[in-house]
Amino acid sequence: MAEVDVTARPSRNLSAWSVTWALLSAQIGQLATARKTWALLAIQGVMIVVAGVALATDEYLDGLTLFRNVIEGAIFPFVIPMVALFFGGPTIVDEMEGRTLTYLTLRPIPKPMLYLGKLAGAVLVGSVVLMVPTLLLYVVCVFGGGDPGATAGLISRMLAACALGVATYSVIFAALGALFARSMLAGIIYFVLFEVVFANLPILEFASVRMHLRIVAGMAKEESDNMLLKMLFQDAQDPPMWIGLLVCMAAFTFFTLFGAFVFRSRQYDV
Amino acid sequence: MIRARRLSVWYGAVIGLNDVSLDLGQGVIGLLGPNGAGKSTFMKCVTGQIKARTGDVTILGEKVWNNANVFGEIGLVPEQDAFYEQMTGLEFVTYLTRLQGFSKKDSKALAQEALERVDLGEKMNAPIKSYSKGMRQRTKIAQALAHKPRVLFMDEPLAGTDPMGRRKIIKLIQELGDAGGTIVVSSHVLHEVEQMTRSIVLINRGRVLADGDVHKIRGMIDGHPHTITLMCEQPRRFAQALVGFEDVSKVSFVPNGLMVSTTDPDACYTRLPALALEHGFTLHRMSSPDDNLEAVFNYLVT
Repeated sequence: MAEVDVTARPSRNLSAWSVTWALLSAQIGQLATARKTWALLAIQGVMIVVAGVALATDEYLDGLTLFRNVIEGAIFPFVIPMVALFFGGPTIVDEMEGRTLTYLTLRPIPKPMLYLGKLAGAVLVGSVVLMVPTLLLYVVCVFGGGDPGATAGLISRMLAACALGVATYSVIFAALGALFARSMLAGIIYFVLFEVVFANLPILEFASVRMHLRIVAGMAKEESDNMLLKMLFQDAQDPPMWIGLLVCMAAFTFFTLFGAFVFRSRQYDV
Repeated sequence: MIRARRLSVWYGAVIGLNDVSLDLGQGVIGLLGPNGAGKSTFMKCVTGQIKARTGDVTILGEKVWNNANVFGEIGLVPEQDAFYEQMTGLEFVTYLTRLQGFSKKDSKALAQEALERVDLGEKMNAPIKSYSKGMRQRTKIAQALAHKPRVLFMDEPLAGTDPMGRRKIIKLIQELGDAGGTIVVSSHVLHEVEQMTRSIVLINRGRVLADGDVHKIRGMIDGHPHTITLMCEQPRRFAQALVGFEDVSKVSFVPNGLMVSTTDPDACYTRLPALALEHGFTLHRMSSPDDNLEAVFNYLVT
């Protein structure tokens, strides 16, 4: 074996930000080439193709109405949580289940930064995986008819809600993963309870992210005649966007910090 | 280098470590014990993967738990066979070295150097999933070595390696120890550790039974007489000459010689050649079969 001077090593930058940045860039590279990324892109690709075929074959179908329906009927309730579940949920759990977490926790990165670096990579890649096909879908729908200029404000709100949705769900699923060391199971239980059951009950619907995403997207008026909004706002049919934004951002901040705190405090015996 | 004070770890009703206090300095230290003795728990505790319920650990004067500073100076070869399977050996080691704060270029150079050092130079660009068990083991060693840590922990580093690979890894461990590093090697295979070092920590049921030089530990076990085997001519006459001494508790015959049990091995070792000379016996060889790790281990553990 070759003789090596064990004491001589190149200079290094051990600042937490520098090492976290290295982790983040590696995380993005790993996720970008992961099979789940391509699988999720393919699923959304199918949606785009179906939308394109529908628009091409049905002359009465309005493109922007179709876009809105897809956002409301498929992307909000299913695609966003699914992307978040596959990217945010496994932030730490994949490393635990693969038993590679040991390697990472033995690097000079403070544990919260390790968590945040991996989470940031998951949120970024998850957002790209959702937003690129959603924008493509929008382009296809615009070609299918409707006046994009007239609905530009609403479309922007929908797209913003999509990005916000991925980020918020991702941090929630990641925090649940850190807490229970099971990403899928904890995430699915949360999703069914809060985003399916609560989301359809008056007042309790405010505990669901989906409700606030609809508010951000300007779709809340399509919701059931919820009592709380009627009590709080005169125009209950169109609650202000800032409520949704504020709640989603508060949830994002809370669950990000909570996940980092849990990861710092817990012992993961792999 | 490594200082552990009153460490206790338990998992529910099961005790992992029980009031362990140790000071480990430079060189190669063998952490020995049967399966389930607490070796891996000790490793996890001193490398900050789990927190002791009581007590504390410092490495290079710094507390370990949740202290990222200390991880720039330590390396761990974990017991588990865990990798990012889709990566090549070089990508894997480069990635983990990059997380030690080195630039991309330096990380790659250090990774190459470490992989060459464990004889994976030719296979470093092959995916890890195509590696044999021995190659995977050496890849784990390379990632622990690449950033040139001052303290290296190796949990069962020879598991799954072939005899040739085993010999090379043992040589590498000795080199690292000679270079001034602290290398803590855990194993339940006694003769492997014996080839690496004479400095051991014996652990069983979560307790440290003994630590230090294996000869000295052996000497402290008064309850077990030392055995000396003599290969000689005229063993019966030799035995006759020996039985009168107070420290000689038992003499038995073996093919071409005899076995002497003594409570004072130093005196006995001095006496034997003198007796041979005095009585004109031909003495071919003297050896002490229980002055080794296995004997110490058996005495203390069983």
